[in-house]
Amino acid sequence: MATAATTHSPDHGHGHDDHHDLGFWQKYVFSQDHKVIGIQYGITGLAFLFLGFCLMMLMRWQLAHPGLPVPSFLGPMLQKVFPAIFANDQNGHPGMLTADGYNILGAMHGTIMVFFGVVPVAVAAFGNYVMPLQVGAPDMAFPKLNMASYWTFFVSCVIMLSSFFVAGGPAKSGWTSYPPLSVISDSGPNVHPFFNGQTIWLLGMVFNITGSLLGSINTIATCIQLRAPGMTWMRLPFFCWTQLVTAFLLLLAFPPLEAAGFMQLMDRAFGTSFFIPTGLMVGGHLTHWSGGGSPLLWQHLFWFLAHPEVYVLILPAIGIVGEVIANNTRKPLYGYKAMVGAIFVLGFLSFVVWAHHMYMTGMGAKVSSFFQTTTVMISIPSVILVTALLLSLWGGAIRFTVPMLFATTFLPMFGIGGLTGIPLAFNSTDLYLHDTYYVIGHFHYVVAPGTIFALFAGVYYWYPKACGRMMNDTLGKLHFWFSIVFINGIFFPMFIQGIAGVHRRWYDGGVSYEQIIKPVLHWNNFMSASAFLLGATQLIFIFNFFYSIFRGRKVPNDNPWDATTLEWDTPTPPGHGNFTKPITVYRGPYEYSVPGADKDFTPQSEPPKSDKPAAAPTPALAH
Amino acid sequence: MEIPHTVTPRPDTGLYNAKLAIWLFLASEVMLFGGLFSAYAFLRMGADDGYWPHGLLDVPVGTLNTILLIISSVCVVLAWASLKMRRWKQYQAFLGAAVVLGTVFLVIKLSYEWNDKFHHFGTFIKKDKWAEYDKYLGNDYLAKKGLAPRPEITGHLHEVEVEVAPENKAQLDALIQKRGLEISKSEEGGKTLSIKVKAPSDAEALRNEPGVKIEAFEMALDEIYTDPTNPKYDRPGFWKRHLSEQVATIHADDLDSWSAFVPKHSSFLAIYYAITGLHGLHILGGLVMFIYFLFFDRALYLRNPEHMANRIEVVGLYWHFVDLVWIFVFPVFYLL
Amino acid sequence: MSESKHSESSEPAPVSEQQVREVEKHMKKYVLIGGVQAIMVLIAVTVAVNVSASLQVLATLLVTCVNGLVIALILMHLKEEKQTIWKFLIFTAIFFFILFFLTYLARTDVITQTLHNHH
Ligand code: HEM
Ligand SMILES: [Cu+2]
Repeated sequence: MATAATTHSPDHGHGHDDHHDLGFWQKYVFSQDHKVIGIQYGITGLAFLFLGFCLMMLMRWQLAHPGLPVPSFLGPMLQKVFPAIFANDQNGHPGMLTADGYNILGAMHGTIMVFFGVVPVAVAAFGNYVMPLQVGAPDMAFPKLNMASYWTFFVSCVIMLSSFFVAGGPAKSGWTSYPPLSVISDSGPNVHPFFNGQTIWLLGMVFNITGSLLGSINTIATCIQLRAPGMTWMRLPFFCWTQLVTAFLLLLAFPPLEAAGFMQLMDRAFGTSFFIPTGLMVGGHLTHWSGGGSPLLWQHLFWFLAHPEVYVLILPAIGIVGEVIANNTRKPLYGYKAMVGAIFVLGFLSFVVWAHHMYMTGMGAKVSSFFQTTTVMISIPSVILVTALLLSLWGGAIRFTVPMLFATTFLPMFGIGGLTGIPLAFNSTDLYLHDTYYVIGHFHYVVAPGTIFALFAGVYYWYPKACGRMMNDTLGKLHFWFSIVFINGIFFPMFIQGIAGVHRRWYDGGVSYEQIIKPVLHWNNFMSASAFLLGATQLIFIFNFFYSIFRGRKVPNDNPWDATTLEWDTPTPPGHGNFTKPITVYRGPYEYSVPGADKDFTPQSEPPKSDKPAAAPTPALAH
Repeated sequence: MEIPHTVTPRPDTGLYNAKLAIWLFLASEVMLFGGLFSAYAFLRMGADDGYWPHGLLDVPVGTLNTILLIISSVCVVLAWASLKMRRWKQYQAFLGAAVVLGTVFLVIKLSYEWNDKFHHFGTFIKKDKWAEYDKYLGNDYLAKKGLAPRPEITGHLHEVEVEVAPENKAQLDALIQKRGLEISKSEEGGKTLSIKVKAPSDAEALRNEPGVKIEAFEMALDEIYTDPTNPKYDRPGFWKRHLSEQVATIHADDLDSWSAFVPKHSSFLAIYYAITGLHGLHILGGLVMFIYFLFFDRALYLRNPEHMANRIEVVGLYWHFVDLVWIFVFPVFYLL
Repeated sequence: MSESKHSESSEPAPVSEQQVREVEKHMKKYVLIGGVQAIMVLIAVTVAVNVSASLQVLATLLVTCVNGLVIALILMHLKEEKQTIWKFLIFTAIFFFILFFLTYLARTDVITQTLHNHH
């Protein structure tokens, strides 16, 4: 060390990354700038959210009008492009969703929404764009790795989309991909042994997971190593905490699914029997697998990831909501430390609840009771978070800006989602509710009006920083009010249907079980209509998004929301390297309405008044 | 723009960025191999009595490979120490040795161990036919001694007896020609044939041939099946399975399944190939990085030797981890 | 930049005598550790071949775990590693063991057991 220091400063070891005059490709496509990569993730993710939404609308069409072809030119066109999904109806009209097609749309909707939509936007886009700015870093710790993460993710997107165009269509065994169904599907004489839906799904997932892993390493390293001088842990904005915990969840929970993905690939490609039990019969015939495996092994490994994954979906959303609420109530977050503690407890517990998705597999009473207990325990930190956010509103001079509308709405919606989780946590009630629309209602309340609303809040909130213009307020409010009405119109009736016993995978929406579920069948129409209207509402957002890039109101200054955190200390939009001056942090993240201060907000980077001795930076943190 | 702490540690954490990152990566690797090892334990505990093979792998060769990896691991850490002393030549020598050792490991693994497995053949006898094959299996004897039964007969496949539908005869002949096989016996006007095969993959090809039904296998037995009640076979053998001269005929109808020692043979081999395959990929990745650092990174060394030493430290951590995984793979598959 | 003073082809400045001695001491330790590891592998083999079947798995795994610890603590310098790293590795270890909880689940799994009884 000593010698290195005497000869030259080691940190200036590689002086070859002067990025001032990069060409178009390096600046916007193969960029290593965390903000560009964040935007790439954001746009890709939003596009996938839209695609997933369209798949859902097709399913909702079928549920409302079983067997009726998709109307107007759409039906014939879709059938031409996706012959595996659509067929002629009884009268020979093209564009009717087939049963297989319905399963395809269900599987791909779930996969795309979770792994290609919400996670890329919530974790990768906001995490990449905002987190380094908030900790005061010039970039992510490993810019090249960051670029590699995005392009690995991009490859996974291409792989996943390509499965729509192979013979037999994409994967059709649910987003959970349960064997033995997933191992025996897409096999047989008419299907390519390798280029078929399920195999491509697995490959796509392996790439997706790899990209996620690289990204999470980068996030953690940045958060730990690149905090600006004075940015002590307890001065870290809440959003960064959520990103940090989320990254740990991804880092430790995803690999077992990657392992399981390899095993399922081997089952499909090499005929192994990791997940195939001995003596499996399909269609009355003994299958050729040697057996000895267990379908439950997959379920365990899958949910070992997928339960932490649901917290990956929700934590960044809570982080965004926290930032927006603090800013718009002009108050510090209530119980910041308790919230940070809560997300750590949440993160830890999320690894020990996975088998609550498997009560119906007959794991046995002992195991079920164990997971019932941990699942009930995990609602405690969730409640702490919601309560703290709710109390943060108390006595605030709330500004109902568009981001704030979405953020406040997050609270009751997440509340409904969380509370409806409790009956699912208990074995006895879940045995009845499992695989009904009640479960679909439960998690959609958490992810759709919950997480996705939080993502909208984030987009409206940070848009001015990225684009230098505000999004249109009136359009934003229209978007909000229509969305909140229609989204509840879709998901609330799901509880009613689910409690009545409507199964989550019925192709005809339950018509063939009419005797049992007649009283709730009519909701199908209502829900589907709400879905289409919600779809139409999103056009307002899409229009606003692009319109405001060119025509939005210019930001009056670099800090249009009068916020305290560091991202608002950068120029608008921030250039490569982010900050134009050295950044030092002197105070906590939410010093709003501090008594005696001359403004109602004091940025973290503002030095204390000279009559007080400078408390920060602590010497150990300066670099 | 400079990213802080690429070389010097951050004072409060005491770490430079890459050091933290590699440990994070290794943590995720722990979970990746953890998933596979827990699958191993899950499958093993779920296996029926006797269906989890013991002594299938060649222990001396495995031991040799283990020791090769250990030495290579020490070489890498010595290479790092050499850089710390700014001795480039010595660094190259040690890292070069690690590359050679890693390569030898892979070569042994693939061209000897795996390849040997691909040519070994096994037939799982249906439970209700065990009595008929007891002179090979020795299950009566094992039951009396309270030992786990042997459900499988293994050895080298010599001949496959097939029955072919007349309309598919021509196609079969073409296949035989294409694969260069030999017909040793032909009866009932070519309806039943005995075909000499070169490798179990030939039998697979026959299985997939339309109109062809496999009737029986003729195979040279592994020694243990020629003398199954010999107490010396009560515990799994640790040397390579020796092939005997004795040939047995096994009827396809009596079998649950048959195949070479490929992944689909059994849960044991499936997880064996999965874990050693993934481990092998890690070795390969390590070798590629070593070669890069050996031959293409001297400029960095001249510019900033401490940065170079950090790189070797980080890749070394990775390599030790790969070694560590193998330290567990070895007993779990070869010994237990 | 500062290093432009260096001509690209010159070797880096040598390190101090004392540091060299320090490093060489460590090198001896590493070689020793390698030897210890190799011996432990041989012990594991011996144990696996000779110990009675009921103890075989436990005893062999025990030797292996000690061996693994030697690699992690000494070769990978975990012994002197910083707190930050220890913190998340401890969590990783916990989750790793939770993952092995799967095997317990397999034992209690009614469905798999039923399947095997009918085998
Ligand atoms: C707050 C406490 C929560 C509890 C007690 C809870 C409980 C449960 C239980 C027991 C199930 C399984 C139901 C079944 O399949 O029978 C379930 C399903 C689900 N939960 Fe939650 N949950 C909670 C929060 C969340 C959150 C925050 C999210 C996501 C952001 C979420 C997402 C999901 C998803 C996606 C499923 C269904 C997966 C599927 O089967 O396809 N849950 N929840
Ligand atoms: Cu869950």
